[in-house]
Amino acid sequence: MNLNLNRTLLTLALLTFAGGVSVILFSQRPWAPRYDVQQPIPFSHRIHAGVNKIPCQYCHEYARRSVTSGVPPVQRCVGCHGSQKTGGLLPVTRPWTDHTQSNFEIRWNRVYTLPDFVKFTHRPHINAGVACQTCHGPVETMDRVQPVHEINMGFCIDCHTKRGATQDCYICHH
Amino acid sequence: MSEGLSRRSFIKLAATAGAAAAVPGCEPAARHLIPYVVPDENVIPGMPTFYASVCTECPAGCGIVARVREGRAIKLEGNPADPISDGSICARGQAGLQELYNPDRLSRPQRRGQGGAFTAASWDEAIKNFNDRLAAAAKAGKDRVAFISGPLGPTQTKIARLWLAAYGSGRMVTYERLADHAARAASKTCFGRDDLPFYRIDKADALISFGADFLSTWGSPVEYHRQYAQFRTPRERRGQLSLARATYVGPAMTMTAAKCDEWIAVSPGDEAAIALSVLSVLLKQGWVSSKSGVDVDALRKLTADFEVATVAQRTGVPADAITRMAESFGQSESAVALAGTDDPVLHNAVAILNAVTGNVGKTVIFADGGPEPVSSPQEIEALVKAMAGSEIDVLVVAGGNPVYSMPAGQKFNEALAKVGFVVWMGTVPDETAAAAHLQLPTDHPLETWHDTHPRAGVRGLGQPVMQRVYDTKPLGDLLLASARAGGAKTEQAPWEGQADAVNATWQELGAKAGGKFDDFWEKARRDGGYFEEVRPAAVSLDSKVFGATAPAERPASPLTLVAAPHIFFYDGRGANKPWLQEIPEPLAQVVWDSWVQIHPNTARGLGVSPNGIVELTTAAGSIAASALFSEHIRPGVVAVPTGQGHTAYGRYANGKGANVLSVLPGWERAVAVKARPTGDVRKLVTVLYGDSQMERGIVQTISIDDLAKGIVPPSDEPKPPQPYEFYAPFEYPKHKWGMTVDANACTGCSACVAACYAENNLNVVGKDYVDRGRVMSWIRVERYFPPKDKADEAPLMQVAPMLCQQCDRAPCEPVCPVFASAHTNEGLNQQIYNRCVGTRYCNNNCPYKVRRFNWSLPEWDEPLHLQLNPDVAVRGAGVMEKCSFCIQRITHAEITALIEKRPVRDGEIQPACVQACPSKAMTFGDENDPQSAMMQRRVKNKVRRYLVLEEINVGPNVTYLRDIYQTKGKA
Amino acid sequence: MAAAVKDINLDPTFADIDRSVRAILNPPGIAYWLWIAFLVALTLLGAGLWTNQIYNGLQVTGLGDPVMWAVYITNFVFWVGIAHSGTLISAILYLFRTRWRTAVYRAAETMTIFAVATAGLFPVIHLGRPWFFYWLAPYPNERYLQPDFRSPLTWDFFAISTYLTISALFWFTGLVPDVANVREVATGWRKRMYTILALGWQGSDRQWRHFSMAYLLLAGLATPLVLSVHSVVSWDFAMAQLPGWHSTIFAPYFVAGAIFSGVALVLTLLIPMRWIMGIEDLITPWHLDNLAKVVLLTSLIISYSYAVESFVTWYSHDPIEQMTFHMRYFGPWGWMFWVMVACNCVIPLALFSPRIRTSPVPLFIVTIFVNIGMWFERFVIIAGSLATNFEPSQWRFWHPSFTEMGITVGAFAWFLLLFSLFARYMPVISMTELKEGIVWLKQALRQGYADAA
Repeated sequence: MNLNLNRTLLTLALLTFAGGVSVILFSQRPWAPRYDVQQPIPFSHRIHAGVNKIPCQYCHEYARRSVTSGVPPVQRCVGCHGSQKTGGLLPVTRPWTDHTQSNFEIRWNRVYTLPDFVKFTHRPHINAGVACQTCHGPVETMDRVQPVHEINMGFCIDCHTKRGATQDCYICHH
Repeated sequence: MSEGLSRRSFIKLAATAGAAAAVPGCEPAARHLIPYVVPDENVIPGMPTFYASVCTECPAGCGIVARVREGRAIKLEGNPADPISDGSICARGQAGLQELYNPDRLSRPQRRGQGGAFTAASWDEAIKNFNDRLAAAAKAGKDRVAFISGPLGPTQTKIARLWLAAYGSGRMVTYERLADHAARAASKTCFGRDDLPFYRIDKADALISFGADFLSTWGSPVEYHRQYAQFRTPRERRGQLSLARATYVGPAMTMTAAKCDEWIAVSPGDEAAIALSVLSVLLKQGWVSSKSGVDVDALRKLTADFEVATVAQRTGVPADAITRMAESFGQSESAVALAGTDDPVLHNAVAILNAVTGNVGKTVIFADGGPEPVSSPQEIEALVKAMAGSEIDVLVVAGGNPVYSMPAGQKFNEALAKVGFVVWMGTVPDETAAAAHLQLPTDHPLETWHDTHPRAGVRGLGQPVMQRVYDTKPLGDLLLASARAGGAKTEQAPWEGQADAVNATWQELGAKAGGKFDDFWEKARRDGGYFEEVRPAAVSLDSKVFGATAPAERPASPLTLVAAPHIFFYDGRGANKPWLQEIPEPLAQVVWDSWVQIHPNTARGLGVSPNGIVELTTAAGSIAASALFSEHIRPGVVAVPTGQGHTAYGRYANGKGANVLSVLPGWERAVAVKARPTGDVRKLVTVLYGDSQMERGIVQTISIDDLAKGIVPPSDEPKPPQPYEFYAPFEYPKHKWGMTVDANACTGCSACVAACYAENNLNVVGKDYVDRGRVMSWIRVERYFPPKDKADEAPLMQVAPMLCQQCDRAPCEPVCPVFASAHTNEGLNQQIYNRCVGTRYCNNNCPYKVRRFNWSLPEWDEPLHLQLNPDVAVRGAGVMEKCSFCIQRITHAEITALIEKRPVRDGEIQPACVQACPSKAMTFGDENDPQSAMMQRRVKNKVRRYLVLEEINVGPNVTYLRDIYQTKGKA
Repeated sequence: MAAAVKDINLDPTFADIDRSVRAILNPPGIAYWLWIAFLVALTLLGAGLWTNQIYNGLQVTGLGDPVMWAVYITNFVFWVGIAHSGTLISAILYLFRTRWRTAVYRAAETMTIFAVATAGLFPVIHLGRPWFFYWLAPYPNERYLQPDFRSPLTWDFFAISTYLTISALFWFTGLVPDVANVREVATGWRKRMYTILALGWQGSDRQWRHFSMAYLLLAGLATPLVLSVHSVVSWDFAMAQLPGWHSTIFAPYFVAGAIFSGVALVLTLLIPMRWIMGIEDLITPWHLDNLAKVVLLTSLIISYSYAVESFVTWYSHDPIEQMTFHMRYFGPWGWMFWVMVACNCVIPLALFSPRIRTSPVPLFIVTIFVNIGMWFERFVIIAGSLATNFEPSQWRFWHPSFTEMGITVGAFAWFLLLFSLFARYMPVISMTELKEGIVWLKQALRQGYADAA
């Protein structure tokens, strides 16, 4: 058979393959947890949860009661950092020493986001004794939180199957 | 209390949550987390908080509970602790939220500049301007300041009075266009009381309503729905199961009439004669109870020329019909007659009827310590005359929208033009606001402290459930500040603002109630008010009334116009709420429009065609609307619903239909009219194809006799084929959710529909799309009328809610190629929006046609989106959706039970529709638990239970109970 | 049949055949390009409307509850139906060694491919979220989700894709020797194209042996598909319990209808084509006659189906089913039903006359009517039944929208565009088999099997 033909067919095949690969590579996945998140203040989970062994739910107090685990209120930080003894951190304590807290806020950046059509609830998971680390990884060893697992449906299903939890779609999707 | 969130964090959370809730599908979510500075122990982010309050959408004053998430009120529910609402709430109440978040709401003060255009003003300027004009008016002399408002509740009334006094005036008018003025007059003449009675329909065995549409707008609809459902529950009477007889006398078949045994069509104004002839029958039969101590001879004289025969002949009402209702009324232990028209004679006659049969005190209850009544027409006319005479320099209008609803004969606009300075205070600017010089935005009742006093023994307390949406102030604060500026002494106005004043009012109440005030206050806030049993006041009929009860001769007119209060719009205030526009009016099933209900014969006479525009001309002017042909109105009468035809009431209300109130010369709602077809045609958009259910047994019925005998009507009993399972049947290890719907209790009021819109983020699509079959309601009211030849073996109307039946062998499931429609272990057909690709096959295969498709991307005019329920995903374009039995509530309850290590309690889960239903027609529960109220309701009503389209054997989990009708020819 | 023999044109030598077919491939004239431009414009219109529909959602259509399927699905079924005749003629008639197919089968099969290509668009066009259409395909994914194999739509997905694959292979295989043939005379880019498509065909003995074996096998594979594909499509409806859809006769009924409309469209295309391309001597009245007979037969079959369907409904004593059919005959859309009856049952009866069967123009007109009728049949069944469903309160009739109509027109244009291009750049008549046929006949005649044809 003549080469001309083979060359053409080969090119076509390569193009198709490249196309497929690029689609997979460059397709957007807006809900994947983000690895590049920088927080406004250099807060270290390692020091708090790891070194000082502060239990997760001391700060994320809503986890066992609510949908969201909750971000600790500034008051909680000041609980410890307020007094000079623990070396009060300026950015946190300032609002308490002077009264300009009206324009004070911490804008934490989200690491984990879920789409509106996934109604995940912390409540049942914490009460069923699922460790925070199961999904969030060993946060107590991280200075800057980085996702360990990609939180996708397969990840949930695996665990639900293992633990014999419900598999009704409606539980999360409504 | 609501100081849960600082204003700052509310805005942010609202923004965040709002963004998260409002984006369908794959759009970037909120990327930031903003913690509280100081957390509120009462608020758990992500969990709802509930605040008790009172509904102010109509004078009934139902107690409500506001569900609040992240500082936003997202749902109003009935308050179970409240004696009036008893945990239910009507469609209008549900839509209160759309007043709160209305995009057309006034967000800052506005002043009329040169050329009449309004310009924004700061609060300071506005208030200064206001006070200056007031001061000037006060200087000019006494009574040159006036105040018009709707019923305000004790505290705000108190404040308003005080404010007026500060400017040397006493001109205060409480304006309620559709209030029962005639009834109040009647109770004065008959019983010498200046208040309205309230009724215990549930205590009666027979009912006659002379034009009182209590299942729609008359009196306290939610309460009367509940009572009527009990009234219509078959009971053992004289040793046999019987159905309390209800008769409706009126020109058109209203919602109430449709649920009665008999609707007697009379020309407007003839009701009084009928009532008197009923009285004459009672006398003749000797049923007038002697113990009522009434002067029987005087009564005889009064009813002398109202013998059944003569009246029948004069009014064209069949004599036997009159005798039938008279007998049912006289023979029963206790009965109740209601009067709803504005004919004083009728009200007297009805009062006599109730009194002489000894029902006053039993079903008609006067009690002392009632609320202060709204102003009478005379008082209102006096003020208008004063305005016209330029005796008023400053007029404050805080509700009622007189420009829109005042009788044309009053020439209110002209009078208003003569007023030097008109100030409007309210939430959504209306026609009156457009005519004002100064517009001051006030708080919505859900944003402020307020209280109500709907009737003796019931005091409602409203508390702020969330931060203000806009920069508004409570009405009370405005008036108090202004009063002080006007030099009111501190001892007169010792309160900071409205909140303080409310507290003061309740201090007094607490003192009366005794006990520590803090506990009283705590309880009042929890229960949403303070409720006490009231003993009926002893009243006796004043015989002088017999003299005052002679029907006046009316000039006979070939055609009469009746302004029928619209169940959703009432006096027009509801028209700016998209839900109320989009939910079809239960009887006409028409949306986004008003219509001329006309009998085909009348229409033929006038040369009117269906949907043809009819021009109605009265002494006061003319309106035009499309003709709605209907057998359910007396020939020679045309009825037009109130509430539409707004010109300046926001984007949802403007330019829809016609304002019938504007062509009523006086306070009467029935006037002589000329009608002519304009030749144009504008289609009335309805969601129904026809009135007939083609004998498919969607809403099934049974006669009381058959029920007593336990006979199942054979025609209604399709024999299901042997259940044949192609696929292995599902198993329901834990729960199997189901519902029981009682068609006998359902009146079609559509509260369930409104509740569903609110709970499940249903999108409003507008008139055109409703016409194309794109309405999004997950639950609809199916309204059918029996075919003429079957009329004797059926109720006047057959109505029941239709929602997803959650079939065991659901046709929608196997046809979905991607498992977007699947079965849960708890017997639900789950519809997974984010998996749906939109083949729409499931809807094609759904025999009940309860699935809804998102033809377009749903949009909410801001800030309406703040009402969205964060627990329910907002669906994007191209996906199918349907009733989920409020799965978000089910999972919430199940998770709670799981955590508390207990089974889910029966009744713990209530879908929004079930919760809202004022007549408690729906029950939700677990089919695996035979003791559940839902299952018990099925068991107790074996004979009445049926499944819709049972013969196709899809195994629905919604069981209906047949509507019961009176076997004809029996009292 | 002896009569048939002399109808076949025995004169052309192989050279004649090559000449006339190659002549088609000469660079076309201005008229052709105008025609192409016209089609491209319409196709672009359709494409634009679809883009707009994807952007704005299905609100741009006239659809609504309860008529959620209308024009798009009608088009889908219509085009799938069209697709059938091709394979019927090329595969089944090949196995039966029917001689008259040789001249027309290439055109018919080409039509099949392009019809399937058109039909395949519509399920995607009608989706609420077309960008997720691939969820109908089973593929490993992080959600652990697979399509539901109980759903007729999933069956469709496989039926259509299989059908497209097989018939495309079959079609292409048949093309190879002819492409090689024209390769020899072509020049410039055409030569390069033909060279690639000819897959290095040399016409060697070995290649011929493999070729005929492969062709036979593919014919065998394609044959069952002719019946299966449209049965599966019909189950989209028969499997639902909607009155008017839920019927066991749908499979044979739809297959018959498919062949009916398919063959009709073959004629609709061939008659102008043979005239424009001046190949009347290759596609003779004899061919038209045979095709027309197929149309007549299938017309009778579907007339019978209509009768049976109505009879069963009456006989069933199911009031709901009966009401649906009552509305189908006399409802707001009754006229569509009567149009369909006129076009599918009455007008084709004209084909009993041999004169009409063999005279191109009347035949052409009849087939146009058949196409119209079959389109309406699908619409009446699909949309009509939906409009009159179980819930009396939820009846509603559909209003056409510009988008739906535009996309429909665009689809026709797209189909004709593909076909026109093919007809000018590919051998639209199978020279190989034409020659075979003539060889065979000449032998047959020489040996005196006059009736062998």
